[in-house]
Amino acid sequence: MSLRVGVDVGGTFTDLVMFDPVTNRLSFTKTSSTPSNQALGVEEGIGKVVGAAGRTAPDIEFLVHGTTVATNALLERKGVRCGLLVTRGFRDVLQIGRQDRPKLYDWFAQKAPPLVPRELTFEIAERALHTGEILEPLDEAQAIAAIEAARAKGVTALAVCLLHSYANPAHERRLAELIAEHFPEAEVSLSSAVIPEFREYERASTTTANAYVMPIVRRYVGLLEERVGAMGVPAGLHIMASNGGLMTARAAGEQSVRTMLSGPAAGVLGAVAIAKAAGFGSVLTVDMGGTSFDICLAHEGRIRFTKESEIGSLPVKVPMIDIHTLGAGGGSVAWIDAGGALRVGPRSAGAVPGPACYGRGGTEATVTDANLVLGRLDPKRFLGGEMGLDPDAARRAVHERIAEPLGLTVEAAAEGIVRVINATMVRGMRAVSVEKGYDPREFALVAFGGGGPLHASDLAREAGLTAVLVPPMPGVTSALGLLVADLRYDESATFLRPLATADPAGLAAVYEDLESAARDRMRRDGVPDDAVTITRSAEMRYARQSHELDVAVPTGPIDAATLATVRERFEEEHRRAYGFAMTEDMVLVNAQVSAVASLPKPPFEPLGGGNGARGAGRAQPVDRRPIYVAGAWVDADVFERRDLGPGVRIAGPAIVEQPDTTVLLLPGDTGLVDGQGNLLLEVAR
Amino acid sequence: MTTLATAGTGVGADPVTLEVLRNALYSIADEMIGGLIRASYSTNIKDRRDASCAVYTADGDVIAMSEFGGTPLHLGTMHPAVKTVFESWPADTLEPGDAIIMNTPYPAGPGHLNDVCVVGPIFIDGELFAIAASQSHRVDVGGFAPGSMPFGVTEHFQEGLQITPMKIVRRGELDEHLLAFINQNLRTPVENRGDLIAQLAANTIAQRRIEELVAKHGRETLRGYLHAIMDYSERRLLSGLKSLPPGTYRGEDVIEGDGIVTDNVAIRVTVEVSPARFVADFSETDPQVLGPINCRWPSVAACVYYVLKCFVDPELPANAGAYRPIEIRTRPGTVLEAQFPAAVCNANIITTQRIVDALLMALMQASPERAIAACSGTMNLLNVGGFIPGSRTLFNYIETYGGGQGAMHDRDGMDGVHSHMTNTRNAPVEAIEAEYPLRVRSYGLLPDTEGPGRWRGGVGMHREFDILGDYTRLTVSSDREKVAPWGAFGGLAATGSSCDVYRGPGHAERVHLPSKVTTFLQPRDHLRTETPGGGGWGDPLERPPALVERDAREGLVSAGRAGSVYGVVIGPDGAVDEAATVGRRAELRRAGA
Repeated sequence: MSLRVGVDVGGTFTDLVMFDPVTNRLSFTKTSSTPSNQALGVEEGIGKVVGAAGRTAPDIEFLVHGTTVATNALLERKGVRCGLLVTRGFRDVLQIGRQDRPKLYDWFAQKAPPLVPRELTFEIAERALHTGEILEPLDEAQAIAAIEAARAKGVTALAVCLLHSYANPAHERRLAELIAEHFPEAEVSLSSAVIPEFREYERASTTTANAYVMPIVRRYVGLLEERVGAMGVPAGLHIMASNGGLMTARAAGEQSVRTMLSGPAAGVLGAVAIAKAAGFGSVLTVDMGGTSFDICLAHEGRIRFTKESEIGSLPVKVPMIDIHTLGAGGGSVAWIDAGGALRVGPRSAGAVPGPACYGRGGTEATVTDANLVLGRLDPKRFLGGEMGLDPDAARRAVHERIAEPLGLTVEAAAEGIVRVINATMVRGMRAVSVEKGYDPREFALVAFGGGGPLHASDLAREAGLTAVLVPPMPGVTSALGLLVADLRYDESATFLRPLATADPAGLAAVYEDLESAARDRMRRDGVPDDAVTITRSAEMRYARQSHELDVAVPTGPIDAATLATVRERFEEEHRRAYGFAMTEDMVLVNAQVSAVASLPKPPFEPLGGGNGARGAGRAQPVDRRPIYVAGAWVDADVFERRDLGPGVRIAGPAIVEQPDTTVLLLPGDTGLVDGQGNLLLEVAR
Repeated sequence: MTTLATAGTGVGADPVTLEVLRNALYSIADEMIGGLIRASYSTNIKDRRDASCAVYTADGDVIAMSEFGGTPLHLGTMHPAVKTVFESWPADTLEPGDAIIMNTPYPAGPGHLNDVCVVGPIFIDGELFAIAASQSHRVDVGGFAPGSMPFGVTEHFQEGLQITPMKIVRRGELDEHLLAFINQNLRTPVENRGDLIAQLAANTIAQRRIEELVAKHGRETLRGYLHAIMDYSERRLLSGLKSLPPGTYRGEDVIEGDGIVTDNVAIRVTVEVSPARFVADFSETDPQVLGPINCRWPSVAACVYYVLKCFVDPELPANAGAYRPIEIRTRPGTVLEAQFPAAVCNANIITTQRIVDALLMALMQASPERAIAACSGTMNLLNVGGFIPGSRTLFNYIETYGGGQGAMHDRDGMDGVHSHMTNTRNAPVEAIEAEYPLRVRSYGLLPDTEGPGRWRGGVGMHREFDILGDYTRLTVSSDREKVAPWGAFGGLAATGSSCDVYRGPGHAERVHLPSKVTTFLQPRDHLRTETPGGGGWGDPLERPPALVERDAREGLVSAGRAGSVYGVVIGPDGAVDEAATVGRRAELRRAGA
């Protein structure tokens, strides 16, 4: 017993991390992902990771899974045939959306089609008002006819989104009963259960996304539970949700839309946990892969959340870790535009043909080719030597595509490619920091993914950060994140009343309802009330604004003093975000609670002993090689990451090689390995 | 008219630094608009993003403009507004921390008084180095009717408060007396103050970021690259221009009267395309009119920039450099170069969309594969204002409505979407009902309003309200009721707009409203507005029957229309009757020939 296992399924590899509390050891492994049925790769990986430690599946006490099943179903439009029931007169809520077009200057750019076509959207005779008052009762005979019509059209899932159901869910709940009676096979998602908040388009979009992927997620987690059960794993399966908390497999099969971005959320969680253990509370995390660059900000240990995400260009309004994604990665293609400027991305060469240096037929110059030309990557050690790179092909591509047309040397062109992609990434980093009112100088950069540590020094310098943290194994940050998560459920309800005239008792009642709903979920997962920590927050704005800010609400009884505190906190947050506060009336739009049940976590123990202990002081480089920096070749020390034990100091220019990434230290940078094995860079100004 | 841009001096720029600094400067404009939208007070800005920001050289040439949020109209008219400001306030009258407010379309500026510009000089070491500016649509600027975009006005004086360039902030100190004067003259002072402060905050962001760039790159290097970035955009535009066949192309389209008389007002353009120059000559346009649909040349310029960018390089970073090869000619006394004090307040909503249509008609001849049939052709503005029942608090609901997008050579137009010079978002039904004494009875697409074609145009939309208040004033600002959006290359026209009030017992009495009117509504009236579809492309008899079947299943084209217009016979099971379709199409072709 007692083993804790995390499984993160990515596009190419399934990463596993296992923690054994008895020996206090973490171990890692990876297997190839099995996209047609992710469960196969997961099963194989579990066998591999426990087997390597001489243990067996029945020893697993706790199993956490990061999955892309929901995201893929949505992005690839492979969900179920889904119908939508709406209030009469509002059939086109999904078709119209917000009536804006995707690109201001390109009329050929079309809106993403909604998940439910107009043909499968049915109107229901009923009407509620924003006060919750029922203006027109539900016409049950008409509703039954609509349900039958949907069934006749062959839908297998039904989303229900009635006007103002956030204020009064009675009609939606009655519809659920009617569906259960007249179309019992249908899987149902009610907007008042998925996301009971005002603004009908966003609520309907989120609810249909849930209905669209739910049967697929439910089937998948059911199958997976069966398989791991057959292996003898006694633990129930937990799924990482997009809010960075865990949910049970059963909850994931109901609130499936909350499992979107499961993997990236785990990555942020892992990176923030590693940084926190190393003493960094405020961090920007960057994950640079082959095609995309993910950025997230955590301030004083708190990760930023958003409810304004779009997935596949459709709004999904559940709380998610606020991850900003750019089309920038190792495969990003360099090109010269009609004005003669050097551009890089957003198009990527992908895995096939990939960068020219992959030797798979690619002829375009990519960021990876540029890094190879500059000596920053070692052709023999890429991906731990599993894949040889062709430096001549890289030089040829950079020369033909960029250097020659621009009249530059190959090295200058390659350095230009890196500078331009860095500028793009820095613009994204600014968008999540300075543009949200945070001073980047107070943050450390946590770099992971294959390319993050290679660009980190430049990115930190350009964005005004001074410290960079590269975890010991950047490639498994997401899998590690699975093991540091807590069980978490978020609940929210629209309040939409001015704070000045709000009745404290009324607000208290709203929070009590939310808290008891969250405790109920925990109880169903077998968590006793006293193990649950509840935090409250509110989305607020000034009366005539329409964008809300998140404000923490004190726990305990709610009285006039509580409201005064909330008012002050809102003003403070408004000042931080926008630089000013006003004396106007403010509105408490949504009341929110988060219920968290803490789970045992692997400690980030000092890495003393074992194979890393070469002692403090200097490390011996294994090699020296020239790298091109700021217009000139300089000799850089090359280190093996496994040789860098705690306390070791290195100085740039230097390269640190490890199987899953390459770390670059530029001239003037210094590096120190901390007690947890993290490489901390102090970046030269 | 004048040429806006000055010649560049960006020689010796390297293509890497150019891209790095271009990123940095556009990042500033993005940060400005992000801050402005988030901090603004009114729903109009927060939810509908009816605002724009930009950074300029010290000479007033625009370098970088926000494209997130932002409307093409603002991006074209801010540039002359900044020039106008500097005629009143030359560099030597400005100090660090100053900000200047203005909103007057005369002599050159925003398209109407609602669009308030705030211009902030950016000083580096005591030298005027750059300028930050924003334009943000105020929900009300006073005048004859709530919302300040009424019909029934004939003079600019009636439209609202004219704010000639004034220092609203001196050395960081907000002029409360001036703000009080402005606020006394408009109906929504709280929103005005909030939105103004958000604009000032945006300029402060730009000041700080420019200082950082100077610290990093040096003042002279940065100055050189400001010009290099303009030269770069000019090269991009010229490169795009070379892809258009040289020649002279003409376009003409009409507006259905000015709200006073119903005679059509014609917009006429002659476009001359050559590899190094693009001339749009509107001299033959009809004379100015009494009603408030006149406009000034900056709005015309905004339309030309918009259409050209769409045609030759949709990703073009627009700035003063890109404008250099463009020449725009308007004739004083025409509806596009109206003389003071002609009324202009509805030009943004209607006239600019028609300028675009005339330009499209001309350029469609040069490059059909990049063109589009006529879109809904008006922003379909509704403004409902009055007192909240039981109080003396004024409310003002304003929204513009999308319609059908025109079809293109290889695809259908989108349904229910904003086109061309605006892209503001709609107001959620749940927000409207929580905020205003209005109840929405229905809101949706309008079947059978598309312009038929091989590719069909998009369908229009409708919204129907119950009026709950007792004193309510309505402005409708629309067009394309009779001269519906046209089709192209054999595609047919769409169905036009309409607006009706239903009142009396059982709401049986129907009062049809003109497309341009300001009037009173009675308690318990039903108001219904319908917006136009988009024009079709190519012969509807050549539309693949499977697409017609899909439209019929979706309920967007009725089975009757499928048969009579597309010649596609839909069987009782909803599927195409192929044999009958062949016969019907042959019949329709004979009848047409």
